[in-house]
Amino acid sequence: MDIIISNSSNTPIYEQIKEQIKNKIISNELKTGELLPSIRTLARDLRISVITTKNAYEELEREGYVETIPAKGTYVSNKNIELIREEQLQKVEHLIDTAVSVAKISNISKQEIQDMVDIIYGED
Amino acid sequence: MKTVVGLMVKDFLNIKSYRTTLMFLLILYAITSFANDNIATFIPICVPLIFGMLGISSFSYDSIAKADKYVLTLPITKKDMVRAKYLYVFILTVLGTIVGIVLSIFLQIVKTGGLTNIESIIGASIGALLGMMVLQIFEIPVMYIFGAEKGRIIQMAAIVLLMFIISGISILVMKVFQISLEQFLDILIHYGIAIITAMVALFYIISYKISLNVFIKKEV
Amino acid sequence: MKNAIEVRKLCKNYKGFQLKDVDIILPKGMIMGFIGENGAGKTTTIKAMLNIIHTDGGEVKIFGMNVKENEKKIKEDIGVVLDDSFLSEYFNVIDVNQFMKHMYNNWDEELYFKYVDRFQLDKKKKVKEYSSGMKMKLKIAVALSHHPKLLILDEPTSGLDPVARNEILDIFQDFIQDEEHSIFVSSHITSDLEHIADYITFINDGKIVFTETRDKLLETYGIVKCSEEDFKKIDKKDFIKYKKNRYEYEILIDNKVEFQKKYHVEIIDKPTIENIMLIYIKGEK
Repeated sequence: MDIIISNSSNTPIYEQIKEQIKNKIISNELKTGELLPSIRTLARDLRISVITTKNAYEELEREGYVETIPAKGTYVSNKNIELIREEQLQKVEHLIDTAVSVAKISNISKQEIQDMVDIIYGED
Repeated sequence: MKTVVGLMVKDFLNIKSYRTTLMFLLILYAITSFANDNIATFIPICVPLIFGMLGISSFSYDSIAKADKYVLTLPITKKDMVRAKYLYVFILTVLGTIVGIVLSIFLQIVKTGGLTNIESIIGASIGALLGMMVLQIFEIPVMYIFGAEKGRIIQMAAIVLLMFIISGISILVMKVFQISLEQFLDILIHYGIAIITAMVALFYIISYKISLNVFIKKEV
Repeated sequence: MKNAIEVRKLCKNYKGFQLKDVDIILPKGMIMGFIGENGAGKTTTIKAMLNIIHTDGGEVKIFGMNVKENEKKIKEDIGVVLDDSFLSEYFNVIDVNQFMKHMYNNWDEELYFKYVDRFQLDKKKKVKEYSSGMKMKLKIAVALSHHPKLLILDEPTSGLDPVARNEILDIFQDFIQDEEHSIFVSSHITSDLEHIADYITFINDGKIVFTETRDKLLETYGIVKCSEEDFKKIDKKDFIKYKKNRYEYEILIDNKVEFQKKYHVEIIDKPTIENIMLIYIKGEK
C-alpha cells in the first residue's frame, strides 16, 4: 500500500493520510475486512508522529471507513459500503450543482454539459 | 551491595590500562632496591604508596568523563558512590601493601637466600599502610569538596599541613610528658600500633561521613 | 498510570538563572521534544527530573511515582543519555558491559551486544577514540539494553551528521512501537523533532512557553508576512508575537484559518518549529 506524504503541502499530514486511505477503500484497493497497519507501525514507516496517524485513523473511523477492535487492530469497515456510496453521490451532486450554476451564468446548455460528461466519463 | 561492587568494578576497569606502567614501576623499584640494598624498607613503603595514589586518581578519571552526573542516572544512590570510593581506595591500598610484602620477601630470598628480616618488612608495610590511610582520611574529602582538579593542588598543601600537625602533636606530647624523642618512638613502637590503628579506623569512618555529607549536598 | 512523566511547578535557583514553575506532562506511549536555546534550562530541567540536582520547589513524578521517594525503582526503568557525560574515556564496549551488568537488574547483555553490532561500534577502541557519533550511539545502546520503559535524552543528536541523526530517529520510532514506552528528548536541532515528536515543549529563559502537539503547532500555527501598513491593521490580541525585519513584518499566529477569515492577508507561511522558536525568542508583542 502506497501512502505518499508531502511535508510542504498545506493539507495537514493526518488529512493526507486519511484521504489516501479513504480513496483506496473507495476504489476497493483496500478490501472490506482488511487489516490496516497499526498506528505505531504506520507512524514509524512514514516517519511521522503517533498522534498524527492516530488522528487520521480516528477520523476514518468517525466517517465509518474503518473500525478498531481493541487489542487487535484497525480493519476496513464492511458495514458502510452503502454509506460511502451515499456520501460519494452527495459529493458528485454537489460538484454537478456547482457546474450547472456556472453553466447557467455563462449560458452553457444542458446538452453541452451532458456531452462533456459523456466525453470525460467515457475517457475513464 | 551489587551496585557498590559495580562502582568499584568501574574504578578497577579504569586503571586496567595502567597495568603496564605499574609493572614497569614495580620492576624498576625492584632493581633499584636490589642494587641499593634497601629491599626491606623501600619496597614495602613505595608499593602501597603508588597503589594508594592510583586509588585517588579515580577521582580524575571520573572528572574527565564527568562520570558522576551519568552514574547518578543509574539506579544507585550517592551513598553507594561514596561507599564504593572508600572501599576501592582502601582495597587498592591493602592490595599494594600485600604486593609490597610479597615482592620484598621474594627479592630478599633471591638476594640473600634466606629471610632474616621479615619483622622489619611487615613493620614497614603496616606503617606504610597506616600512613597511606592517614593521608586518605584527608585526601578523599578534599577531592569531594574541591573536585579532582583543585583537589590535587590542595591535597599537596594538606600533606604538608598534615606533617606539621603530626610533628606538632608529637612535640607537644613529648613536652607535656617530659620524654625524649627516643622514648617517644619507643612508646609508639610498643603500644602505638594498636592505638594508631584504632585511631586511623575511627577517622577513616569520620572521613567517610564527611565525604558523604559533602557529596549529598553537592551539585554535580 | 496514564503519564510517563509529570513535572509540576518545578523550581531551581542558580545565581543568574532560574527554572520557574516548570510544568511538563508526557503521556505514556508518546515522544516529547523539549526545545529551547542553549542555556534556556533544558539540561537543568532534565537533571532536576532525575533527582541529580536539588530542587527549590515543585514535584516530579515518573511512572506515577515521586522521584525522590522511589529513585532506585524508577531509575531501573529509565534509559538516560546525557550530552557531555559518560562512564569513562578509557572504557571499551566490553568494559561498559562489565560495569552495566552490576547496575541494572534487567541488564540484557545479549541485547547490548546486538546494538553494538547494529551500530557497528568498534569493540577494541576506547571511548575516547570514538567519534562523537559513535560515542552517542554507544550511550544510546547502553540506554536501551536494560529494557527501559522511558528514555530521557539530552541533546542526543547534537554534533552528529545527518545520516547518524536519521539512524537515531529510527531507533526512537522502533522503541516507541511498544505503547508502554515513552521518550523525552531535548534538542536545539528542532528539525529532528519536527516529524516524529508527538508533543513539543518549548522552554525559554527557565520558563515553559508552551506544550503543543506537533500537529497543532505545525498545522494551525502560521507565520504571516506583511508590510508595516498591513501590520498596523492587525489587532494585538490576534497574534502571539511579531518580528520586524528589514523589509517585512513576520507575525506568529496560532490559528491561521480564523486569522485568514478576518484579515485576508496574502502570505501565511507554514511554520517550522525553528521559525516559531525564533519569533518567540526574538519577537515583540
